[in-house]
Amino acid sequence: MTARYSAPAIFFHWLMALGLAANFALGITMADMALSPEKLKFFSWHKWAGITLLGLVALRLLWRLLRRPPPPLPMPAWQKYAAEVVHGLMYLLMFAIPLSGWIMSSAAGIQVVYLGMFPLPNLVAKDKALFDLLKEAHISLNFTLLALFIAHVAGALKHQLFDRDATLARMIPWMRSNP
Amino acid sequence: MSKIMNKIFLLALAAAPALAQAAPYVISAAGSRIGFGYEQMGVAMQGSFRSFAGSVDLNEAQPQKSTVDISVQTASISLGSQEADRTAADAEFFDSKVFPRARFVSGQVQMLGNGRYRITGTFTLKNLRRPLTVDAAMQAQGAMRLLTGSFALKRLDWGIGTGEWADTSTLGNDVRVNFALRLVPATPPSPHP
Repeated sequence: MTARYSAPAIFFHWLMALGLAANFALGITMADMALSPEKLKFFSWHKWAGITLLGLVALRLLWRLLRRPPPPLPMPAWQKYAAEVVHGLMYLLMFAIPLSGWIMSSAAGIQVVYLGMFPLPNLVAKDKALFDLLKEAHISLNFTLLALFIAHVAGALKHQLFDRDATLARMIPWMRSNP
Repeated sequence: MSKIMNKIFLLALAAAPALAQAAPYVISAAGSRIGFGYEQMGVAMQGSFRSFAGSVDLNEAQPQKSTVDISVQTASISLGSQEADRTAADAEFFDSKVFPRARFVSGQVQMLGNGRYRITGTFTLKNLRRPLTVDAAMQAQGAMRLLTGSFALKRLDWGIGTGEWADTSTLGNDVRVNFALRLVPATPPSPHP
């Protein structure tokens, strides 16, 4: 019986996958909208979701340190290494993206008020040049995460469809063994 | 040429005392600020106007004889983004093409003591004219005066943000206008030739 990811790890993984995809789509959508009350709402929701995802990734990383993930299944060393690098970078970006958004909002002079109720501290003073820089950074980091996500999914599908091992099944609640 | 200049200068000197009596101070754009605070999605926001002018005759001996006349160019609004500034000039907000100026005129100033004044006047914004009372403090800085204060208004009372923008859960109804005006002695205006 292959060692599976723990239930909390599986929960964090899929909840964040869903949240990141939704907030990425919201970010792309709102960026092209003309100024309207709806756009202001979308921006706020995007920030609230981003802060939620930042909290989730912190909890997730904490859990990962307390309960180590199962060791990789037998595969060539370069694949283990590649998977490790992709996972590491994805974790890095899951912190860097919401943080860059938060600092970006501070630089715009718009405080982040979580859920419209809890004011978060401004991380930097209002600064137009810094805002422009962070906006580019926020977008670049997101597309980097998208590229890593594609590599991540490609890797999972390769193990599932070509190697026919249990790599993917370890992360799927109802998938007990490889078909 | 120099003779004409001399004549103008003499005329200006002759006219100065009477005119200076009427409006001894004008707003100096440098060092003055007219701003406002409001809430957007529960977030405290700040904005300001870049262009405004006016005269303040604060008769410190007889405050009831004071007059205030301040105009703000509504299209000079600064909200932190060009798109927001453009939207604010649209018909749903200030409608700056039709109503380029907001104006406050007062001939009724009450001294409250400690350099504080209660200024009662008429505020004109868009097509609306209504009474408005503003409390302000005046500080002497050499020949200059610094007039500071703030007042609250409801934006919807003044038709600021109509249509889809009337939703106050997105854009709050409460606006606090704050001002710090640097007043300099009015230079005697040149008489028209």
